[in-house]
Amino acid sequence: MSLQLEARLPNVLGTKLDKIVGWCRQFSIWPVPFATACCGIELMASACSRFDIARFGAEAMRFSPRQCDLLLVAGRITTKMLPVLQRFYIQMAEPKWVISMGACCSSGGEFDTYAVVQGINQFLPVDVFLPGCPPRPEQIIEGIMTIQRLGLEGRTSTARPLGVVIQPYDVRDKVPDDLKPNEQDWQKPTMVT
Amino acid sequence: MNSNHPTIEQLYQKFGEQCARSENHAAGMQVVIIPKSRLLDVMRFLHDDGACAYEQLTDVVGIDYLGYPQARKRFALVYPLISVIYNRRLIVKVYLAEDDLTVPSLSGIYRGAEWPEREAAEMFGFVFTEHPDLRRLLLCDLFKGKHPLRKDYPLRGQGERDNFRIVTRKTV
Amino acid sequence: MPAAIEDIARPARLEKLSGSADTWILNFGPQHPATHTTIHLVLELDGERILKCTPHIGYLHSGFEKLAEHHTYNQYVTVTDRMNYISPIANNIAWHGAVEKLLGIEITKRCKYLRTIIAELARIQDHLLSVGEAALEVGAMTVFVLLFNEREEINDLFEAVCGARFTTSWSRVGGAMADIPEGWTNYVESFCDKLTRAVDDCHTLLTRNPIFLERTKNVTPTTDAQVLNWGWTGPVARAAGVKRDLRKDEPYLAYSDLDFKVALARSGDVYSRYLVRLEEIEQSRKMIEQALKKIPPGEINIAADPKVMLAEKSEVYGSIEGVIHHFEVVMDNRGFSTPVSEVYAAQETANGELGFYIVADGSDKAFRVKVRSPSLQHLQAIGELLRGHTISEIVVALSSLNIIAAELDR
Repeated sequence: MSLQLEARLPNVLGTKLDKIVGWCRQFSIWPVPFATACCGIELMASACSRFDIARFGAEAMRFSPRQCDLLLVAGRITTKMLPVLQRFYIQMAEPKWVISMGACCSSGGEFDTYAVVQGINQFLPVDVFLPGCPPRPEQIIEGIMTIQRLGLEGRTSTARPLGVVIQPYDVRDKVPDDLKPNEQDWQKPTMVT
Repeated sequence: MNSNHPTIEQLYQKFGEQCARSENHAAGMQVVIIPKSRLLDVMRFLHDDGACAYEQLTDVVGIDYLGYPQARKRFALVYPLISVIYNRRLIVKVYLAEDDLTVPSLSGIYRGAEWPEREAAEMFGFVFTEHPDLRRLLLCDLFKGKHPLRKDYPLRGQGERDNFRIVTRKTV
Repeated sequence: MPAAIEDIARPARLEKLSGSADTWILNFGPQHPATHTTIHLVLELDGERILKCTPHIGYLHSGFEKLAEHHTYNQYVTVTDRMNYISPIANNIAWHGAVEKLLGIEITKRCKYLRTIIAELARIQDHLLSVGEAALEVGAMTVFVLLFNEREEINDLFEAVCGARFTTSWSRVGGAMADIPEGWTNYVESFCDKLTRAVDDCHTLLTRNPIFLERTKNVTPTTDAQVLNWGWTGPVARAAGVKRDLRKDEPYLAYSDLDFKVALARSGDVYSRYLVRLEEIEQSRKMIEQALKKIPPGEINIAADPKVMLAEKSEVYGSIEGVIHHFEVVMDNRGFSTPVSEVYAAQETANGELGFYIVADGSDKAFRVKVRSPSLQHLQAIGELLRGHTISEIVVALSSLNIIAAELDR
């Protein structure tokens, strides 16, 4: 819709409308949980009452490709399942985003075997990669928020995937010094001269 | 050989020296090795006989002994059995040579053998005669003719996992 | 409106034979909310009645058994986490139980009690999700969210023990990764109190609910002879009347010291499986409360046998002998050795009998590992079970069997 309008309206109006539409889209993003394995359980946990992605507008988990905009691939994708996943992706309507959740679909994870595809981004455009095995629900929420942030900035390019990796950050870096726990003595190696 | 497992005694009485008791198993495991030709008879006896009454076949395990110290033959099939009434376990083992992998199917006696046999067939190459449906169970068509769990098949496969079309945003 | 629930004739008389021109074929899965991840059922339907159902599995086959030939016994526990991912710690305990039987190691009493408590917590975790899914499929989302909340509490307990909520990899050969922290037992006691309330809520909402009864009673009834022939074990077999529970029949860990009952039902339909699971949650809770009072003090790991057991981390970081010990056990082709033999060991996990057939060749990696997965045996029968039922009953029947695709496909 945004591309067609840009062709007809003067530029300022087109971008403003784009922004409003983008804002609506991002805060009511409907994911489809393409849950194959253990990451699916963490996805369910993030949808339940403790971690609650409903507050991000992503509560309506639709299972049909025609009704969703975010494909959350959660779990390992095997050689038998990949054609199914590809067909599913093609059936989704633009604009669509893909989150590759967990180590197994981002790179094969622990399963460097004959049957597991070592990274679905070889065969499918992926926008956000979430590391972890499984990623904690907080990290899933960070992934969805990244797509929201990037979508709001206007980076909803339909030509190229976004290719963002959520980096794990160490919580200890954000804790002020006087609250850090004391390290045990035996954890510091003694220098023997 | 003496044993304190009543079923092994009965098997000796009925089938003679064709049954042997295996030694290289952890303590507490009762294993019987039988030749392939008597497999169906022994299983039928174990299932039907009132004093044995092994109602449940837990699993069908295929083993490839290539590279194993002191291996008897290259392949083996293991059938762990459970008798719920008498609370007993028994393990039946059949050794198979590399060129003769045809085995009678146990799905006529134990319905629970169907899928484990299909899996053993596709992973190792066993052929189960009189099986109701011996299609591939776990692997996709890319693995036609290949048997992944054999020792000469590499862990990372032979390129099946890299061979797909690439879907871009422009694909319809 | 029928006079009584039992008057509904299920399965109905099949009026058309499969293969005639009026039937149609529906693909149920492999991507479908109700199939619990990747199970594919091809249904031949006459209207809504199922004439023929063919399951296709393998969409999650990842080569677990081939991986075992390349991982040591302590490394493979990370892979066993990913099997029955609803209660991963139970798989760890079952795996190391099998390895310890192979090596002939007897773990310490404290470790037995702790493993028992954690296995029962894992069983509760599994049944909570299973009952929650059964409710979710029927449409009762409240029950799902209620029970999932209790699961989050159990995740917190596991996080306190081993650092990971979910894929725990807690046990090691001869013991566990670490002992329980201070105050963990109080935490577990307070959890058990909270659990009673959640399970009571579940009973109030579902057990006598006419909608739930109508959707689950007399759906896929099974008899005990059928079930034994198919190879079913665990709560689905006990719901059909099979009197077998490995915790009573072949006691392992600390189960012989605990006093508990085994839940049995007679009709083997979806409703009785639901009731059996709820009763097992209650019995597990009682077992945990008894065991918490009886945990013996002492070491959790067996005395450091240089061939097998890892050294204490404080020794490893603090003394040269500790470093050498660690090196000997962990590095390839040194230290760790196993007898050249085979073992089959099974434990009663929440889904049924999880067994490992391990063939060892003397090195530190297994030669062949076969996982006897309960879900594979359960799903075999689905074609026969679902004949004559309607589409809405597939959903309920599948969730009652608690098929977990990773355990099914390995």
